[in-house]
Amino acid sequence: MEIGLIDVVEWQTAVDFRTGRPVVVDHPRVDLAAEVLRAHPYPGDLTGEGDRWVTNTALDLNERYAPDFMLLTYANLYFPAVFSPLSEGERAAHIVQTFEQVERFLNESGFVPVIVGLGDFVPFQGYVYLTDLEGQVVSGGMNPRYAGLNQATARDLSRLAEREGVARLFTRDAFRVQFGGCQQFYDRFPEHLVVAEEGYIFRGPSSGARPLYRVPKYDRTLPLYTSLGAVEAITDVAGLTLHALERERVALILVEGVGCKSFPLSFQPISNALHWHTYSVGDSQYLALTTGKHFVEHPYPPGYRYYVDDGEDKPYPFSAIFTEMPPDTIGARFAGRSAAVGGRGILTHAVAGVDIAIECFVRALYNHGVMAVVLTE
Amino acid sequence: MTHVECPFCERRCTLTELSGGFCQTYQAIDGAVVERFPHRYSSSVISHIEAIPFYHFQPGSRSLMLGGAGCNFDCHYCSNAYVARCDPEPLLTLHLPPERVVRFADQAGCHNITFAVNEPTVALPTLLALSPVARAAGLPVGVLTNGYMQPDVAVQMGEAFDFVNVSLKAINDDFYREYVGVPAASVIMRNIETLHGKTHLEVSTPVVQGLNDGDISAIADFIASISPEIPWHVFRLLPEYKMADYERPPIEAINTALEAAREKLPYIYFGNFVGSQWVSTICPRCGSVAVERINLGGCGAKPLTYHLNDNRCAACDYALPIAGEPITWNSKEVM
Repeated sequence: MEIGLIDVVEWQTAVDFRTGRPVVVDHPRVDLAAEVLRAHPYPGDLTGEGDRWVTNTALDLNERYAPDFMLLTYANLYFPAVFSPLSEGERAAHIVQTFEQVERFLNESGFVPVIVGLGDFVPFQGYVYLTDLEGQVVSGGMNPRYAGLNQATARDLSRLAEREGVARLFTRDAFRVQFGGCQQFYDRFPEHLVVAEEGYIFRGPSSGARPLYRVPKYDRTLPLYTSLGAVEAITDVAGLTLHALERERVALILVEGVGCKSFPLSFQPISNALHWHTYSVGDSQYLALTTGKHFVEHPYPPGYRYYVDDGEDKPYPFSAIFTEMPPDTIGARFAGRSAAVGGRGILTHAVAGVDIAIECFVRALYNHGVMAVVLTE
Repeated sequence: MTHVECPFCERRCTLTELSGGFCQTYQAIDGAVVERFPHRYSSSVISHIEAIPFYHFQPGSRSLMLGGAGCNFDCHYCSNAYVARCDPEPLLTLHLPPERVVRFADQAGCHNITFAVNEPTVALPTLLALSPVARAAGLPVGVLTNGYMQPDVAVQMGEAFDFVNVSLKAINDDFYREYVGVPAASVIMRNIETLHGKTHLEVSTPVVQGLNDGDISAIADFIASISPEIPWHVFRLLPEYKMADYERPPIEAINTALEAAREKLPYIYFGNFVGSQWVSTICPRCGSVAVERINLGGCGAKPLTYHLNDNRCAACDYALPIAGEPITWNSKEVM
């Protein structure tokens, strides 16, 4: 059973994580997680303290549970860079602070590290408005660079072909010919997929209000720091980690907001691309890293109508778009003790597949508290 | 230069061609008050109506939730200060005439349209233009409001909007003066009375420990005096903006106060914290769960199950004050 343990500061509750309903549970692993949550309230995404929280919480969890595999996600370089007018000097200082926290974790825990920077930023160039189209547009998320388009008219397509900021336009079939992938992916894939040029963001019927200052760069390579060997691509990281776990305690550490241009450690560049597609922070990049499978092998295509799945009976209501916990993650495949701590809510527990995953509970930058997802079987 | 008193909110700002008043969304041109940013929005998202929150109107429905920018309040704890207390113009990047809003809602399978995030009084002409177009397309329109509008505007809202949630932040004037920046709670109370009977009405109150938690009983008395069937959403405030360092209110203490209030006002919900167990509708006669909901973060919730027959409690047949029967989330999906 998967238990969700929620801590909103001085109050905790446990839920059946699959249904969302309250449960009473008596399990030592849940008790352990409850103590860790109580000891580490989350400071917020824009306070600059979130990465320290990751390290403090991870060290505490390591001390109490002694896992052999840990997944850590450091996300505090991402939010201020995207949502505040941070100078490059301030950003450089933040990078130093984040990696001090990474180093502190490694020094005090003794894990063998696999550290991946998830990509650099470029200045926000502007919005690509899709509000004039006659077809149905889907452009959700915090900084959507893909938009789905259904029932497009000929006029829609000709307008998009000439629109500044639009890089590519595919039909579902054309995309499938180039990328292949699983049937579930294409069952949800929009009739047309529109891709923005680097620096641009789509603005349509499902768009938020927060102003943007930077957006993810279309990085074709990411920096990987490890002593465990050489690999070529983002999809090789899971295999590398699992192989090393046969003999060592390994921490896979994902650091958002740093790419090859800004990564402060020596690194090997690994491919962050499939054909023209490059990954940026989000479910597809996290899943590629922790399952070893490219985004077309998962059931969450870009530009799909995510809200259709969100009915009363959707399983895993605390996991946003995820309708199941991905089965092929490192944690799910590793037989030993495993744990995760993340400053990236939802993705941490969904892609880790570990015994105990602890993450901040932040939605649209609103800090609600912290949550643990605990496997009791 | 002409000076005109703004006719919308109770601040009654003096507008000129150059001065947009407190909310910055109106100006006076040739002696008339004109909306500066008509049909412009800052956000547009698809949401459960319960997440906004409305628990007793079209339960289960899918709402196109629009947001604008600007506000006539300056709440020190505001969680949306980035849209409420800012220059509205750069945020209002979505230009959506009423027909386009309705098309978006239809294409997304929405059952209704809600204006939330910031105060509707600061964009009233736009919303009054949207309402008849949406209604003609079978889409009710609702708003979240702080209730600080002039009496005739409250009447207009009651007639134009099908569901309204008024935030009554306190019942003592000191709180409104010190933490909101307006002189009196009585304006909001007056408008709640005006809106009741004209539209579907729900009321919300953010509780700040030590500042307005002492008002819980009095607010419940006030709402119950209008109608004990009005749903009341009590939020555990997560202060931001000027009160970001303020402590989070204790859940057990507030809920104890609410338990007593439920004796006179049965539909009290307590949320704005993840996992809240006080967001379901309980039948006041038999105590059964009539509508089961869960809080996923935010001030509202998501419905899980309905134990209703024609909006009557399935266990004891008690009639529950719910406008419209439960709607299946994907009932308008055509693709």
